[in-house]
Amino acid sequence: MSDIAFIGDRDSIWGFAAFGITVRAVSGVDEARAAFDEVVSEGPSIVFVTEDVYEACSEQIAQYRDQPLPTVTVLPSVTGSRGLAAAEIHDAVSAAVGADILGDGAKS
Amino acid sequence: MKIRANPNRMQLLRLRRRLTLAKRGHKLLKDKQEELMRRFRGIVHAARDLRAEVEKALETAHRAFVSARFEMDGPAMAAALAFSRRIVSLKADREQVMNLKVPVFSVEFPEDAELGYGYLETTGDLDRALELYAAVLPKLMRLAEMEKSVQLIAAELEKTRRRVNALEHILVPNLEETIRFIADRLAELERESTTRLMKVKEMVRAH
Repeated sequence: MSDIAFIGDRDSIWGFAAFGITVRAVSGVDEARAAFDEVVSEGPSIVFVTEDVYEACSEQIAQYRDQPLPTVTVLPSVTGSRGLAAAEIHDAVSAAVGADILGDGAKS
Repeated sequence: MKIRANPNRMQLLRLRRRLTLAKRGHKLLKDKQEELMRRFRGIVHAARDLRAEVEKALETAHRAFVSARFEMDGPAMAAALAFSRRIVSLKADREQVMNLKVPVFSVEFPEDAELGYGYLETTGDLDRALELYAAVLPKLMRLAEMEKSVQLIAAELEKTRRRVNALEHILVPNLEETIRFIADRLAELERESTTRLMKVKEMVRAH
């Protein structure tokens, strides 16, 4: 078990297997949820997920948001980025500041 | 809104003590909020820029990987990837920011190690894709670290902001109002007893 794990559709994450990183190819919401629980229970420091997996597992991921580890980070898949991570950061910022300091953050 | 308290000297003293405490707490929290905000501002723009950079780099790498996938079937790809010798290792530490612990990752990545697969079964596209993935990997770690910090600091900032506001706009004004009320009430009682005494004295003299 590596300290880093990737969960996502196979083509988006497979390449990272070359660096000794744990990759879990999933398809479908249920499979993604099961894989997420399984991966996290092995205690990685960073879990990278694709946007699809992030949406499927958003409740599970929310549990770890206030903890330093494991860190869950969203990455775009091969089909391109939908700007989910940017929106996430944007939400965090508006919650923290009580105002929109990034300006165009949500849209870009 | 006034706090419910009996208008006597004991309560007055207690409320005054609570007021000084509340004001001190408010000042401390305000300082904390400012410091968190300073760090937050420093990190949030950097995180956003890094996110944009990483997404762009990943897109290029993904494209290369997909074209490698077209030329190689599943088992060959799996075999090639399994033989790679460039193993990345990660050390996770925690750094203290105020009362928060944010993760700090340090990556060890053998730059010059060869890709361990044979050149016959693999394509140049795969080499190129893995090269690109390797280049983006340390940035991914950095991004994970920064976005986590942003999230944690944002959550703490929100909490602190609420506390500061609660103290500033609710507790402190309430205490002040109540203290004023009790002080007025005590003064009133004082005057009342003075006039009563004067009245009694008058009655005694008239007798």
